[in-house]
Amino acid sequence: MTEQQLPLERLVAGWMADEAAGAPEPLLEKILATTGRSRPRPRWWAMLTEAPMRSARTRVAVGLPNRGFVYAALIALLLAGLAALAVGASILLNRPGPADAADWSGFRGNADHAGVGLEGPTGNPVLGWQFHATGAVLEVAIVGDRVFFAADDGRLFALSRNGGVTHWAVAVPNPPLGGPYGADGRLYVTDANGVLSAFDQSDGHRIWSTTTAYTIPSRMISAGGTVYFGTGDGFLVAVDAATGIERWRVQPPGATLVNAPAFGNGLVYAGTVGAGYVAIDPASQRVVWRGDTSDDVTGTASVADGIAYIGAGATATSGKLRAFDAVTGQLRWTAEDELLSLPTVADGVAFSSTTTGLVAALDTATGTVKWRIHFPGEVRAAVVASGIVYLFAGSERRLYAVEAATGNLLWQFDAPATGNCCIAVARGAVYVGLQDGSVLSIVGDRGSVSPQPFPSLAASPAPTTPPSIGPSPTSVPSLAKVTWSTDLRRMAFAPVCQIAVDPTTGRIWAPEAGSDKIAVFEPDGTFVEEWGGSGSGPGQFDFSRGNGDGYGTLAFAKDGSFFVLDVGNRRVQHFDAKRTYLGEWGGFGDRPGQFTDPVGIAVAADGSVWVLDDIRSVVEQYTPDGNVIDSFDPFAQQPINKGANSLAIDGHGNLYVSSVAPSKVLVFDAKGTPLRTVGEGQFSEQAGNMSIDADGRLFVAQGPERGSALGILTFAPDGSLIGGFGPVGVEAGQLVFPGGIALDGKGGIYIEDSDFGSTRLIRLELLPPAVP
Amino acid sequence: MVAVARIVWERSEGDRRSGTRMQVELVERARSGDHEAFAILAKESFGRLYGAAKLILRDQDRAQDAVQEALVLAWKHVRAIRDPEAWDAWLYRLTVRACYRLARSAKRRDVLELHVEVDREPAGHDFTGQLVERDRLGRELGRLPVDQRAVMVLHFYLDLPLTEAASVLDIPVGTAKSRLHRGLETLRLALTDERADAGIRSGERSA
Repeated sequence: MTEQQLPLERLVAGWMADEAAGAPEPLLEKILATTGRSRPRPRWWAMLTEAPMRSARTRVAVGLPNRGFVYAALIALLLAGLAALAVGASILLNRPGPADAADWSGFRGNADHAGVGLEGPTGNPVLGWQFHATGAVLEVAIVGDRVFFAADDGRLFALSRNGGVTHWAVAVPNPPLGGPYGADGRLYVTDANGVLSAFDQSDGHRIWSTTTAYTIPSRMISAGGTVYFGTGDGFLVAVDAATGIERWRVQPPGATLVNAPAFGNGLVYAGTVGAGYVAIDPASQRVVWRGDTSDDVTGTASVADGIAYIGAGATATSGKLRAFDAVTGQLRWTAEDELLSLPTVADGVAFSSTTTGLVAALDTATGTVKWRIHFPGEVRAAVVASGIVYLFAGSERRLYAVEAATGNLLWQFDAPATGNCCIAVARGAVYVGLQDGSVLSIVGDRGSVSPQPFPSLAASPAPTTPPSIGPSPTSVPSLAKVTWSTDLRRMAFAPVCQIAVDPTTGRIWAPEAGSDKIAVFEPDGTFVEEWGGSGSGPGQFDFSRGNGDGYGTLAFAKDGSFFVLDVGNRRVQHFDAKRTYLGEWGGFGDRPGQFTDPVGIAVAADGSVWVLDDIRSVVEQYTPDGNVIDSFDPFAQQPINKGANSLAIDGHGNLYVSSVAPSKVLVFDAKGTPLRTVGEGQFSEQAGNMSIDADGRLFVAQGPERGSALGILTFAPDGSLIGGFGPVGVEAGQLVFPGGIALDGKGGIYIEDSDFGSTRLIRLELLPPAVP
Repeated sequence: MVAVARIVWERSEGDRRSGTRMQVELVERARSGDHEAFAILAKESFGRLYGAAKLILRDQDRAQDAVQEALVLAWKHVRAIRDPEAWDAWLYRLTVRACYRLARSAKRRDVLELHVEVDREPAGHDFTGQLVERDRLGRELGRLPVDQRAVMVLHFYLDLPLTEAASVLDIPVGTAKSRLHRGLETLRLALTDERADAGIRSGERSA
């Protein structure tokens, strides 16, 4: 690095300050003259018409907190009459396209998202075929004799339904892709820039793309010649299915985000942030009704048999499944259990699951529970076909079939890898997309199956609650004071990257996920240089995980050679102490030596390299040139696997894995034998990056949503909590989002505070107490 | 680079408090229909609002329309304010909302702008504050989606912390961060020659 660049942010701020100057005073005079001729509107009018605004001090600083309800009360009678007329007209004008009922158009089936397949496997499960794509696969669409799906490297595939043979495959720019949704002879797909495109199902050629890049478009549906989707800035958008031209967009009052919609009864239903659950008439583009969701984080809408459902979203930590009259919006019932997601509905029963492993069958008329079964981990949304409920436990890697009437187990089928989405049931088979790029077709042997009572897990009380990450230790002693702090705000740091210390120079190496470079600092915090850049060649990196999160980490060997975990390229690159490229290993996949979602790397004293892969759920040991030595599953003996954040190693070769939820640290010896669990119930946020000093003290970072708790918790070698430091804040000694953490071996600890507004590299001197 | 102390606020806490007290009184007077108080508030905010609108819309005429719309609406709806200390944030919101509306009405033009090829400078050129680079920066900012531009203006021009910017825009803080990051990343890629072909990285994806 020979040039010092003027930081971009400073350039932007300076440019804006210059550019913004020169306000025209005559305009102000004109405005004041205009306003001076009128009076402010009455308070009730202003309150009703002005959108509510929250502030840090007051829940609602402007407007009414429940403006929607007041609106609803004022116009309810009028709407009731209009709605009946509008619905009648809409049914006539907006019939769904003539999709074959035996097809499975995309996520959750067809446009109603009812999740009902016409025909599943008969008899015991048998693998029909397995296809290996070039990236992780989420949802699968089945149309006629074709299977369609997208891999996360951007390739869109069409396979034959019977043999899994490639019919065509096209590369779509700007992955990852959303969809596909197959209808009208087309496949609808969104890209990472928010552009919606349609591809021909017969040969994969692009038919059209929208000229607008939408803000975080949701999954889409197609009905009556229109493609509908929600956006991350609060709109429901309708696009002409034949041309890609936007027909209209509607922002439900107060909505800041609109989730994936469903279509039924001539209306489009969508869960929102800020506007509850809404039904929109596509003919008039008006909100017909709005259902209260109590500010729950809701997910995809579904509608079946005159009832519109909205359940908890995938990221929700609380919230209820609600059922509304699809025409009037009247709340019919709220489910008893927490976190139930959008249901599958058939024959008067709604089958719904939670991210905590509960599956419940509810009477659609009353919401009462007919049966419950419990799984060890997360269960993806169910599908029902011909009296059988199909459930995919993604982290458990297992597909279950249970009797819809009783909840009894019919069969189970083990998948070769984890899954992160949903299943499709159509035309006599279940189709599953997996994180290792596999797509499975599971058919039946037509034999007889005897239902068995579903295996009883520890009976989970109802309502269930999400895993707790425990109380915050606000009173633990502070164990560090600041030595220096370097402002990194002008650089491209982003949560969450691990830092490392070069043992030969003491310099601190810090990956910048925003630029795919590695910044190097002197031990006194002085910036030295940036090294690397974006790409997939030697010395180039992609510090982005498959889900788009910035993530970079590296580890040094004793001689100053080092290994960079190039997470986006799914490889480890090896360099000597002079940064000469020595080699690499990895590649996308689920086999030993491959990576699906690598998140942590550590070098043992013997020179071997350990890598933690979150999706593969494996800690794998390699020689320095990449040959696999050994591996173990850190969650093998855990009741639940909600993912891992980081990997660290101590001087004895023991390995530390931070678990997402429950938030804790799992400690193993080099053979993978569990030694102890540290910090369970003592974190207030996810346990993140870690470092262990020569005395065996473990330092663990936790995230910004930790309330009054400290950002770094310190544990003695026996696992007991002995202190910490860094309450939330931007002042000296405070930390917002401690991402990277490394010890300097001289009584100090380096922390990279990764929050956007206060990115800093800090050195703190560790204080007594020493190890008890 | 050496260790630096972070400056959080340019004004002292005392100045801020007295300024806030005065503004609270003026908002309360305006709320009761005192146009003179509103005029003082409007004069105090006018330059910032116009600057923000001009930066978001990249068009002086539309910026004037946006500020006029925002201030007229602020007067009409001044009685909707429950917390007078939220005055500035509310004005920013009204202005951004007006900008969004005006940007949408001119969407066809904006879409065309999105497809204009980036002017490439000779290899090895850096963006060290020269006039030509500032011109380029202006062009590249103009090509960003309006929602990313809005976050950048609130954060860099109006000096709002991202939490407040998110509140003004009525979006989650994570979304604001993501938009800011994506905007900066786009600029960085566009302005750095050796990375001009690398494309725009994705930072957000729906769950």
